[in-house]
Amino acid sequence: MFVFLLKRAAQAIGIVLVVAFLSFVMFQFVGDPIEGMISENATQQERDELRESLGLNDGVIVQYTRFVKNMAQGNFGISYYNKSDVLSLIIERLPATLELVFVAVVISLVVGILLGVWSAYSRNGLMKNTVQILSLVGVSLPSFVAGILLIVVFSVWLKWLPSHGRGEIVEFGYWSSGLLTLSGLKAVLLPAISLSLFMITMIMRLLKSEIQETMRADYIRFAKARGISERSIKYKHVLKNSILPVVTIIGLQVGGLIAFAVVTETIFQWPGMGLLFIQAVNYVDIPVISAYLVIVAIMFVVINTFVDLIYLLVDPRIKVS
Amino acid sequence: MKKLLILAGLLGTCLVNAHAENRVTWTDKADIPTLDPYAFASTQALAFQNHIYEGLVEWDENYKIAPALATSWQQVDEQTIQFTLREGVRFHNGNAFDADDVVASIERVIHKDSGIRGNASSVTGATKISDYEVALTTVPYSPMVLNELTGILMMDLEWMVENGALAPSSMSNGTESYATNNTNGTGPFKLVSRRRDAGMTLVVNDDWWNSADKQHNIDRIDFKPIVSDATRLAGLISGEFSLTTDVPLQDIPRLERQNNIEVMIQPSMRVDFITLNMSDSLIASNTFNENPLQDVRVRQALMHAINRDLIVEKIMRKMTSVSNAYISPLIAGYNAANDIALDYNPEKAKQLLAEAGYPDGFNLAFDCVQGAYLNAEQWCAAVQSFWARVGVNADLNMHTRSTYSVIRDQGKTDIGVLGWANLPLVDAYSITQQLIHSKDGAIFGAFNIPNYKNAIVDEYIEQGVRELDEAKRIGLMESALQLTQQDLPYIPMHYEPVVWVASANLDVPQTSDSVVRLWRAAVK
Repeated sequence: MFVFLLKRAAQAIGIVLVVAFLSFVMFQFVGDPIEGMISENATQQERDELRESLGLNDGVIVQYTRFVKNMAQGNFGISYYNKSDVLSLIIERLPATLELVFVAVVISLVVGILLGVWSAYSRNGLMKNTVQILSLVGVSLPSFVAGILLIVVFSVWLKWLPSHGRGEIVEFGYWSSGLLTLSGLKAVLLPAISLSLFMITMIMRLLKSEIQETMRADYIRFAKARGISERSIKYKHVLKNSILPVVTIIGLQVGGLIAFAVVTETIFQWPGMGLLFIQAVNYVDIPVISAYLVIVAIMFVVINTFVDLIYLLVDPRIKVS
Repeated sequence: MKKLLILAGLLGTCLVNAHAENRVTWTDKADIPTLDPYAFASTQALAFQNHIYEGLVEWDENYKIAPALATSWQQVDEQTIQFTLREGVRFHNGNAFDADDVVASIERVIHKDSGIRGNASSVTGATKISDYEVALTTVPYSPMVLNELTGILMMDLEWMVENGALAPSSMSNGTESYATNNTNGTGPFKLVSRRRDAGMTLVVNDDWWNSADKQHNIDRIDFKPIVSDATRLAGLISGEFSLTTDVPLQDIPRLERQNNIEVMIQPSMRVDFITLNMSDSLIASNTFNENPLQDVRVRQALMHAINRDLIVEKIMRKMTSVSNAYISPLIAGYNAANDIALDYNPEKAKQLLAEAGYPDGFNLAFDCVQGAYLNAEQWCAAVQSFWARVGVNADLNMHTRSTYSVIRDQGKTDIGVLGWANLPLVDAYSITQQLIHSKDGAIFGAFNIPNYKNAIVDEYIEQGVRELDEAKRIGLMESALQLTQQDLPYIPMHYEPVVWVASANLDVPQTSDSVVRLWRAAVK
């Protein structure tokens, strides 16, 4: 177990170095940060001085080495655009994104598993077809369209839920939570639903086909022959054996959701990391972009490690290797 | 305990509501990245900060310099201006405003890490004479000191010392200034809360020095950045927001049909230009080596070929007007007699091209920017097709802002676009220094994209930047602009429109510099 975690940590370091290098290569093509930082009235001389003081005239390798050196000391620099410490900028927004993703995952697990199980066992053909068709819509509707639709219906017409922001939040040291106030819960609902639409459908369809597959397995037939109750077979034996692929998919998706909640965060003005990232790309805020990419890479490694550990719990046949 | 807090909160809201609070919810596309008034040179950031902080002088409704924290001033010699400060002014934390604060502020603004140094280029230092008198030292004979001072907001020395904010954030040292997220100004509103990308709240400063004569009746301003256009518009329509200065043109007809909001449109001071490469060779390849754009007849032909009225009518949806000069008539240095008279006339354009020796036209590289100027991607495409009709083949490429600026600054295109508003100076000083004077790699010509060079024009401009006699100085700028407009290194297209949307019960003066000044607004 310990060796496994150690291996993962080593992998993480390798991945971070590669990601950071790729991002520095990419910075050669994203444009000039000076433009967004300096007043129109600044003279050529002032522009050249600023460029020099930021080290933008150095080569890719020199800039990359400097970044890695600072990163090793936990220093990600000062944002060009926000003029404040990059790490604190990201940490300030981390809770917003994590909460949004958490609520979205909970919604998609509850709804997705319920619908999946129901549509696998249900005999009501008409209802089943309707749900299947609706789920196709869920997969194919781009999240910005779904988001705007939700805003128009629930914020503009019905005025039930806020169209933007996190509502009232409660702070605990570094963490800030919107899940403890009514306005915070109301605010998270629309963005979380729009973020979960795709996952709900995927979980539902995956689970349904897995269940149908498992139902045909020999051991289920033997179980039936032995006279084990239908209920126990359906919800204990079959479900437990069908859920493994769902865990894998969720694991892969959560990382993706954290990293790419960008669209949802933009539409709902959710003050999370995605919003920060979009802004950083617009203003060529190199310190923020590189720190963001590195932190997201670390998160992917952590999440995948957790998924591997969860496998162990769900399926005792799998051994740590 | 928690229940108690909630009760207290509810009680608080009730009490506030009992006052029938006048609230304004101001929304914009982007958050104000930093509240430090010396950190980030953008019109938008300065406009917001100006509600909290004030300068020694300010613009009045007619863009004349008016006293603010200074009551009077006097040019002592060619490089000193003496200011008399307003007495009895207090910062939001109760500290008194005096000469020490001015000296510390000036030192901070010209600090090497200051982000608005370019907006204070004529200021070199300040010394205290008495508690309410300050001598400002400047570049000799600089005419722009007062214009620059409108954008230099005064900070509190004691507060900066207490919080270690004497220097602005430094990217090279990796230090963040306390003033980035905290404020202490003298202005009409004080900051009560700020969460980045979520919103800020300002409340009225009852101890404002100008409270007795104040024009506004606003108690509270909520500033909400909303990145997504659709969400911002939904909030405006549902009445959640009461003011925005950021509206996509295509949504205006829809907004105009709403009864609860008012759409305000006017041309701004910003002139949008097409720039013409006048250096020795073109970027695009042709069968010849010389640059046809060096011939003034060709440049005139290119302007004759564009139907700018049609662009204003169809693409800009009649929300602005064609510009026939390089600066807005509101700006010192404008003279209607010098307007460019090259109307839409494709026949004339073809004839001029033939006279110049290019009857079959030529190829040009054309690079245009998205997101910087309203509908630029559409009017660039229109210009391209107008030129195609007279045989000039421009190869149009669209870029994002940041990649476009690289192409523009390195001169990697023949045709570019640029908008110039002459803000925050409101003076032709800006355009003559930055766009028209030939590049010298130091203080002149940072945006001279065409590589235009005219020795006489340069001479006029150099005289103008060190001329204290206002009438003479304006005469010099007029002459420089007149000659340049004849030479035509830039084709003026139209004024960038300013579009504001406000709820019907908010009376806010719309200005052509597109700066929101809520201390001149009123809730009806």
